[in-house]
Amino acid sequence: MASAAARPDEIPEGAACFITTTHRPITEVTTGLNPEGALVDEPSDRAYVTCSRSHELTVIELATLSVVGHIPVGQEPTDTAIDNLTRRLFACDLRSSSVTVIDLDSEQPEASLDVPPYPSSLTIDEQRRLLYCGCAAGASVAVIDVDELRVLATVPAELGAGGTAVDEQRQIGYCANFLTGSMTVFDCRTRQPVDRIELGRAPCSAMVNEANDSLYVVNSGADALLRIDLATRRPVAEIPVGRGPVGIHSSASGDRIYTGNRGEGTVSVVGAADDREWARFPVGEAPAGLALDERRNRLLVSNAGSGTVTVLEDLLTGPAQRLEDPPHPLVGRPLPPFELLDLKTGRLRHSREWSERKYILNFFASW
Amino acid sequence: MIESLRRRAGRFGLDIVLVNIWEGGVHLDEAAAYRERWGIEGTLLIDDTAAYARALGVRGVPTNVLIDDAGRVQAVGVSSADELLRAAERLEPRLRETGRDTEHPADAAPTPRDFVI
Repeated sequence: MASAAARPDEIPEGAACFITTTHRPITEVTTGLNPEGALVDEPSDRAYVTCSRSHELTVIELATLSVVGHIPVGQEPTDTAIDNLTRRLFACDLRSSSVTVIDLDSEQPEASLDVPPYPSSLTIDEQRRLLYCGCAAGASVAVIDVDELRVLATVPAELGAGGTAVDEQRQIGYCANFLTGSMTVFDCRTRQPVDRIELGRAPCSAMVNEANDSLYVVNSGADALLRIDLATRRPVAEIPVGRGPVGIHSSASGDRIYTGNRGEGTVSVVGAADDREWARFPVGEAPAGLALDERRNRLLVSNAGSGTVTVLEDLLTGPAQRLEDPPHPLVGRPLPPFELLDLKTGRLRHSREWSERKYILNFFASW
Repeated sequence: MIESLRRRAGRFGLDIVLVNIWEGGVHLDEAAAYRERWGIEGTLLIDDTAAYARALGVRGVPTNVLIDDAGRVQAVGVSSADELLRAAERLEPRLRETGRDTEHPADAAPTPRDFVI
């Protein structure tokens, strides 16, 4: 797999070559198929991208923004986490119901741990040397010892158990349940649920932002970012963002939160102090996971649709002037004709079959 | 939700056509599994290179494109369930007269079997 650009410090020519007041596009790196998540390892100055349909991690050298390797993992990896002490990288593999353990120095798989079905999210608890893995079909959180590499317990959660986060100060863990619209709150010491928070529609990723003592969760079905006060464990703000937010990450200082908006190919920037969307950056198709290259102050965005990682620099110092979204250029115009394969019949279907009828084209992906 | 809306809208001649994109080269398998899992009975088309989606400016999923009976695009985007219902009712006002069909399996509470492992 080749990278899209080998000279990252040069702004590429063409349509993407512009400097706005909000951000500076650097490049797009071509990865494996359907990149879902991204993670930066500072010591090696590399990024690891989970490519769900090529069942691998694409390794990107951050200095050159070139692809330097591919690490095979289980079926359909989605999320990763790093334990800096042991220099191990963990990847959860949705369809093989496993967590692959990778030795970061050799970049080779070291072990594979069985977990409950459909593991989709990972969070390291450095204080307790644990890894939490949200398992969607298992409706639970697997608790893994990162030193001994074994599953110690499973915390009961709910269907669609996914985005996990940990408040290390209070020793409280969180798991967003995508299918029940709730958050399971558990005690990290007893590994038992202690609370349940109603969240809204299809909550996905979650993260703790120590800078404002808050937990953030993206509600993908409500196009919103939810902020929960960690002291009271109750929602305090629901901030509208772009369509279908699924990924989440904070800036290095924690002064802003980024959401990857799968439904529209953008990243929203939300202020931590004012609970407002500051701006929206265009990225690749169907973005999801986000990572931050703190050394260069660059944001990495995995685009599951376009099979790329967008690299950009956030130039915001506060809320940008918001222009009203223009109507989509197709609105009011004739639909361009199509000829597409019908899954059921195996025949090509032409748009003229729907002429003089009202209809809706619903573009979807199964993931 | 999409299949129950399709069944309800079909009574008034409003069709909903699913178009599968971005499956990483395994469209037929993934789309078939999706159809089975959610009980999709309507037309499901495959845009395996996403060329048509790109031609329409589709940047994410789900994206809905609403077309009137003159073949003109009325809306693009409308990704959330509420938004789609409202947009469908604007396109076919008689939809407002019907209640939501809750008999379809796609509307039932999810179970672990809803996951394809």
